[in-house]
Amino acid sequence: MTKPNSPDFALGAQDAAFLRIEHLSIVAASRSADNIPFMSRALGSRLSTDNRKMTLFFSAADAHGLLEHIKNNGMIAAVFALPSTHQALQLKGSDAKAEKPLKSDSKLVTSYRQAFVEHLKKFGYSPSLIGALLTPESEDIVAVTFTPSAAFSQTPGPNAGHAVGPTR
Amino acid sequence: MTLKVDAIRECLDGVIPGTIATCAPDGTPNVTYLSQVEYVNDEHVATSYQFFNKTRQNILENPYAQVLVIHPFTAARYRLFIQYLRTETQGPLFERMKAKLAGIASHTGMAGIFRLLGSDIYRVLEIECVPGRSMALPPRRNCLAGLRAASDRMKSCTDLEGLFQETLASLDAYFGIRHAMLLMLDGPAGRLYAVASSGYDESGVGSEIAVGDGVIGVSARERSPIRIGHMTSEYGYGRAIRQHIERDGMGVILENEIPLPGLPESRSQLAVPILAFGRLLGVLFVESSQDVRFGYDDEDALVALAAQLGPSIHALQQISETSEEPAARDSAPPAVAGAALLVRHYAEDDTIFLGDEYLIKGVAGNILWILLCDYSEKKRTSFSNRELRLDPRIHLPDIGDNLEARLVLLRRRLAERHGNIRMEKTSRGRFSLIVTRPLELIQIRTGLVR
Repeated sequence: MTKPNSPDFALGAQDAAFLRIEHLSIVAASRSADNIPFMSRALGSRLSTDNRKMTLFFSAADAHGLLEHIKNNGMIAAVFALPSTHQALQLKGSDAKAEKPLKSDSKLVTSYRQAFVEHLKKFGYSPSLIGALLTPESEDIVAVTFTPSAAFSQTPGPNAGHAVGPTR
Repeated sequence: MTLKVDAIRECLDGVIPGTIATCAPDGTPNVTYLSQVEYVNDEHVATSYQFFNKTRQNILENPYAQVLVIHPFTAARYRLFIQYLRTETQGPLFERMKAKLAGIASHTGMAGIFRLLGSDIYRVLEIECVPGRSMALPPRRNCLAGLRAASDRMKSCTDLEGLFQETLASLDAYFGIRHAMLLMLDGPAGRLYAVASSGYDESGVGSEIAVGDGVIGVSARERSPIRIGHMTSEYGYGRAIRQHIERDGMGVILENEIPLPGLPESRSQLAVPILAFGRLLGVLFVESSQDVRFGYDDEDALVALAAQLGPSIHALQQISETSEEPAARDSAPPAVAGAALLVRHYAEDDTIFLGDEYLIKGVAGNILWILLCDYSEKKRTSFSNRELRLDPRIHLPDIGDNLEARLVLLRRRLAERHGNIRMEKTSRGRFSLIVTRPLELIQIRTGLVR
């Protein structure tokens, strides 16, 4: 098994498939020079076809601290959770960079919001509530891309936090 | 305006799970979902420590963390910049969180997986309102106005029974709480007994629960409010379980347990201890079949209500024993006719049966037996609280025991179970016994044969 944080780390096929589920709840954190974390909710994601690059979308106003920190140190952690099963996976990276979103990304953000609203509707959450949660104040979407260098299972239970490798 | 935790505590009721970010000393951030963030006070929150995970390892090495929470009605988001201080593994906060976590675990299919090892306490350094869209807060019941109205009604009560009734009626009228009960403490027995209830098919007056059992019992033991937003079997209080089926010496099956009333599908529960002058008097319990029916505001309102209820209970009990009004002349009881009603008294635990029906046991059973003996032997019908307090035949468990509450329970139980023996309040601190059938009293000293 490839060790986490190894330069050879690559996402396993199952984990990549999980990360491509459209209605995952996504929250990411970076940290300041003095190791104080800053966290923001992502408004969608895009995993590259070779599974090597993860891109998260944020509202720039919301994620101000996170964007500032990754500019300085590139450190990022992001948790992806499936509300219906509590299955969760955390990715880490050290080369996070903010970039302008692609033209097609705004469609991804809209589609993600619709999928997440639909999914949570089944659990009694009002669509307007979840819609408000995922709608940026203005069109200030920013994309943050990083190379996942480690992955950890975070499904609740005693095994939460265990590193997962590519051979899974 | 600087935000304080109390302004955003609705976000901490776990309707939408929060997340926590921490950072390892090597600069690697970590982010994870939280089962629970608990409001401690204006400047502190607590999170549940359930496993030794990365978050736990990080905060022990670098105490600065961040929590992101979402308002359940408006979707407003708040970032809490926090600093880890310590972990508590017992006491009121721990028990409050443990009970709540049991509800959350059961609701999310995590029963048996979520187990509270400790309450991690953090100082809140700053709260940031996250820029973004949110919705207007829907209009809601004003708990403060309700509290004032309830308080007004309670303060005009002149006896304990009236106070109990007005309290329960106020919960319904001003807080929309339809299912409630009041329980009083029997300290030496370590039990609570129900003296009044509202909203149930059977009142359950006289039913008991041990201190430490369920939401009610834990609230009494910890002297802390316990609130659960989802159904959990772990804190179910075994209502309607009639375990104490026993046989008397003649092989007659006796059922001597009054089932505790309760909603069959109780999803939200809140138990608030009633204290006066540092002493626990009882517990006020409310429940609902709705999930997350009771919030922090309801809890505050009921705690404030209980703070008035405690001293009022204490004062009305004192008055009932000290400011007794002159006795009416004890006229001979009216003649009664018909078949005799068999009254059995089991001396071992003061259990009383009227005919084949279980009525009551314990202190209230002891009191009733003395009343009935005096009625039969001395033709007495008029009694006072003060003389009962001093009567050596009555074994009150301690000097502070609420005799008046025992009488309220007995009066209510008699009214519910049998029409042939009644207790009627005649004046402050006095009541009369009304018997409408001849009685045959049997004292059974051998006790119940199991």
